[in-house]
Order: sequence, then C-alpha cells, then structure tokens
Amino acid sequence: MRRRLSKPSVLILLLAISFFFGQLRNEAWADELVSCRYQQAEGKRISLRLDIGSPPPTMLILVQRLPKGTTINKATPPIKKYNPNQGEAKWLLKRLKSGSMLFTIDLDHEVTAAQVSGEIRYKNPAGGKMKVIAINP
Amino acid sequence: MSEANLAGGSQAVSRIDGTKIRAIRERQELTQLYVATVVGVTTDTISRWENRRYPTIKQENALKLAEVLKVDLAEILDVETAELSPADNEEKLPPPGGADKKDDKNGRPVMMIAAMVIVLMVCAVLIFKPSQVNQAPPVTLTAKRILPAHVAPGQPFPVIIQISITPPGTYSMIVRETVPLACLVFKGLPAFANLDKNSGVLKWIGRTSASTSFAYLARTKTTVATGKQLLFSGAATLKKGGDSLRIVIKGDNSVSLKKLHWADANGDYRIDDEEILAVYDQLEAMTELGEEDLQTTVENIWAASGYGWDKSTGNFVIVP
Repeated sequence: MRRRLSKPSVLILLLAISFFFGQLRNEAWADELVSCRYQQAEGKRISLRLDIGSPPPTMLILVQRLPKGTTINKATPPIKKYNPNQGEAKWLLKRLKSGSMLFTIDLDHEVTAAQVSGEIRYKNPAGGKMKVIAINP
Repeated sequence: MSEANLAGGSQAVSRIDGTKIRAIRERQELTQLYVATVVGVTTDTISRWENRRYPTIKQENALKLAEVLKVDLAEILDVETAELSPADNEEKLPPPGGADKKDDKNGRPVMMIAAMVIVLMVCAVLIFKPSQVNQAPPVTLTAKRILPAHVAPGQPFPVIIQISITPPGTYSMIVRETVPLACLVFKGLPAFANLDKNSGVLKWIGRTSASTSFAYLARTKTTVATGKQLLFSGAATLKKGGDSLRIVIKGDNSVSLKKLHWADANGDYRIDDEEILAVYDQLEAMTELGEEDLQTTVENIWAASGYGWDKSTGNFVIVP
C-alpha cells in the first residue's frame, strides 16, 4: 500500500536534506581555506592557480617539485628558494589576501605531468596548526 | 433623580438605569453605534451602561443620552439606588473606522488575559533585571609571553606579550616586564612608557579595548657566557572604573644562550618550512619595529642550505 506524504512532511524533509547538504558544504569549505591546482602541468611551462579563502593564513609556502637537475629559466612571481639537485622550488608568500594568484615556471626542457607535483604549507589561522596539502596534476 | 459631586472631582454625575436605557433604545430601534456616536462615547461604553457595569455617568453624557433617546432625563435615571459610586468609567470616542461592535462578554476575558500578561511581564522584569545587572560577565585577562628557546650572544631577538581580554570594553592597562640584566632592550611596540635600563624594567601604559600584543626587541650582552639561562618575568594590570585585575604573564619565561639562531628551534643550523611558518608573528613584529633586515636574515637562512656561527665577528654566516 502506498502512502502519500503530507505537504508539511515533504517540506520538513526538504528542509532537513538542504540543512544536511549545507553542513557538508560548509565542512568542505572549512577544509579548503587554501587550495591549489595545476592549470598546465606538462611541456616547458607549468602554471598553478592558488585560491585563498577567508581569513587568509598569514604566511604560506608553495612547493613545486620538478625532475632533478631541471633548470628554471623564469618564474612569476620570482621563486624564493630553488635547489636544482633536489628539483624543489619554493615560493614564500607573506601578508596574503583572500583571492586567487597565478604562478608560472618556464623550464629549460619539457616535462610530463607525471614528473611534477606540488604542496602548500601554511599555519592554519584557527589554532595555528601546520597544514600540508598535496597538489597533483 | 440622583445627582452628586464626587469628593475631589469637579463634574456632576448621574446614576442611570441601564435596563431602562436598553429598553428605550430597542423600542426606538436605535443601534448602540448610533447612540454612542451621538453621545460621543464608544459602543462598549453604551453596552456597559446598559449592563449596569457603569451605573454612574457624567451628567453631561446623561443629558445627551436622554436627548438621543428622546426622553426626559428622569426617565433614564435610577431612582431606587441611594448610594453613589465615585466611579465614572466613561471612555473616549474611538478613532473613525475603529471596530466597535465588541460584545461585552468577549471583551472581559481579553482584558483579563491582557492584565495577566502585564502582571507576568512585570514579574519577569522584577525577577530577571536585578540578577542581570548583578551578573555582568566577569572580566577575564590572560597574558602570554612568546620567547625563543635560545638566543645567540649579542644577536637581537623578539619578545611578544599577547594580552587577551574578555569582554571587549575600554580598559586602562599597565604591562610591566622585567628582562634579565644580561639583556639590553632597544625597541618596543607600542613605544615603552618607561624603560629603566639599570633595573631592566620596562612598562607600557595605555588604554585598550580588546585583545592586543606588546612586542620588544632585546639582545644579550656579548660578555655573557653561552649556556646561561636568562629569566624573564612580568605582570599585566587591567583597570576599569574602581576595579583592577592583576595577573602574572605566563608562557615562556626563559631563554638559553647558544650560538644558534633564535628561529632555528631544533638547533640543526637550518631554518626549515615549519620553523619559518611558526615564527611569522615574531617576524612581523620585527618589521613593525623597523627591523626589516632581521626578517630578511631569517628568510635568507631559510632559502639557503643553512647557517653557521662566525666566532671572529660574533655573527651568523649564511651557507649557500
């Protein structure tokens, strides 16, 4: 026997579902205070887009890993630290503001997406815990 | 005819016979609304007159009532009752368009409920208001000092005192800090109200409204031997009105003298990612104190493979 739900029941059910998904969305946003993704991860140019939520962390380190021995011809903004033997480049970002930032690296030779990876490291403004987020193409 | 001036009142009143008034009105097929409009009162008042709830009315209204009912005044007066009531509970005419067909039987419970609500509200105010006044949230004050674990001889290092106050408000504050005599203090943010270099006591005095930070730069005297432990102490006093609250500054209270950079927490002659992120507040304080070079040194050590200690110059050397 099929029972039809009354209008108030349907309304309450919809409200409960929207509340549940709203909470899930909030949780997701809470985890994504800072996110980064590759816009281009192969060839001679690598580009990344960094999205910073609110409140922004005070300082952030963006790490880009490349094949060992890779020479960086140019980086925008300029890289603060690069060790070609380890193939690890780092940007040190201070006094951050909420919004988006673009990073590009021009290399001396082509790389494949499988050869690159990255990481963002920052101190969470809420609680001061160190947060490390991996970036993969 | 019964007529009297009420003690303390200035208007003559008449005792009316409501039953007669109702009978006359109905006989003439006049509505309460019509009678009320002509007399200049509300239909509720007419209803009350007819139900003998207001047995006495202003003589002026009694005359108007007799006129609208087209009878002599004597016909509507209650000649049987001898005693007069001092009440004259007449109402003013309501604004045009106002609903005025309320039944007296319905009006009574509404009034009773309204009266009960008012009584409850008064009780609530009497019960809760004094307790709310007395239970103003207590002021809490915490003070925490952030010091590096170690400092190198003659090298500047930052000290931050974080003050947290709840609830926010306007407070007078005094922060008193005693630095070890082996240290020289050379810059404060905000500026010190007093710095006694002989005793090593420094003070900030000012007004604050919420949580705040006090910072200063110090350096150890080059004559102090490494391995020595240096102790810091202090207190924060908050004043509001006649009340004052004094607490000891907690957090870090000692540094040891080592040939290590203060930001190199684990002493491996490197400043790694975690270490530079951890000292960001101190670095910002240095910049605000006008010591950008000190911040740059930390960033350069982080960017390099490490650093060493040059005995001859008594300074750090960055290893590329």
